[in-house]
Amino acid sequence: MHELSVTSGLVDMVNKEAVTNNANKVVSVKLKVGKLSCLVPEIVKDYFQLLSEGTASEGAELIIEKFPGRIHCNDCDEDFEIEDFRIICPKCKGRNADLIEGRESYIDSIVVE
Amino acid sequence: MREIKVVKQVLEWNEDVSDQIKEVTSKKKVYIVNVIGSPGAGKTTLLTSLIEKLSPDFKIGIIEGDITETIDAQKIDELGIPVVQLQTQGACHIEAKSIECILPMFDLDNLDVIFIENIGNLVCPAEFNIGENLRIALLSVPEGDDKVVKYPLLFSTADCMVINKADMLPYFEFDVDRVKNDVKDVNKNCEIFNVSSRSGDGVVELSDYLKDKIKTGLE
Repeated sequence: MHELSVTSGLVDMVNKEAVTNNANKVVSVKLKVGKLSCLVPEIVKDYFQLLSEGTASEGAELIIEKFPGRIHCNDCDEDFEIEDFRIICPKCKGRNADLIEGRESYIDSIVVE
Repeated sequence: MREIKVVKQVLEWNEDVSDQIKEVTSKKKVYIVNVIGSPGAGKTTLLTSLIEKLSPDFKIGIIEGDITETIDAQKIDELGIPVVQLQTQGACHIEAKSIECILPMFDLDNLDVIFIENIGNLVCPAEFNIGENLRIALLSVPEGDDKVVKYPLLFSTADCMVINKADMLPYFEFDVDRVKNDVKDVNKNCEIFNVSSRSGDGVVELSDYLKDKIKTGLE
């Protein structure tokens, strides 16, 4: 349910970007969502449609791309993709690893006219 | 048509306010603890136990987050501790903006630590930093030992985890080792405490850990 406030913030940010870039209309928004975040893309899309009504983003297509979590294993000194929330090195199976990315979600780009 | 590269965090608006809160509380030397757990996990009871143990050393304030009602705030008020009840009117989590609005209601010059009891929920509050210096995840024994695997985000972002209602262990099939192992899988640095707020077992260990954290944080 937190998607409502997240999407509300998202619409505000997108509209601000449009103003900053002297655009009247937002055609599409590319959102990258980390697989370790708990955002549900379908819900974000529904709210986006609803909350953008009457703004520069109304009717804009929201493209959501998921990206995997990545960790750095301190023992192997290598980076790896992970499948779920477990920060375990797939090579040595050890826990001496740190999360690099995957928990965050960000606006990658917008297309405006 | 033109494409504009943005690359901004979706929760930037919340993170910014959370950072501002940290700046204010760091200046005022107030340590903020965010307590997250399910409804009925024993957050308020744990807080009352901690107040007893920590109040000789620290001046404590409490923010009670609930959808509605003031039951929890009344319990804290009876202890003579400054408390503000935050009612989210339906929202499933607390955002940094709400804490920013509430902080001026406290006399920050006369406080060392503020505990924020978040809305009872294992999912949504985990996504929102609210200016805390420390995050406690609470899981009570009757909730079951599979919750870390089912709701990993909270436990992967917590500094410390409390397995609460440990006095209920004889009555539930709750594998403490499994839970500890699951937590270490997602968060190797998480400190884990077995606590019974009711019997008092484990409260001293937890409060000693918090004393250290608060003292170090306020230096």
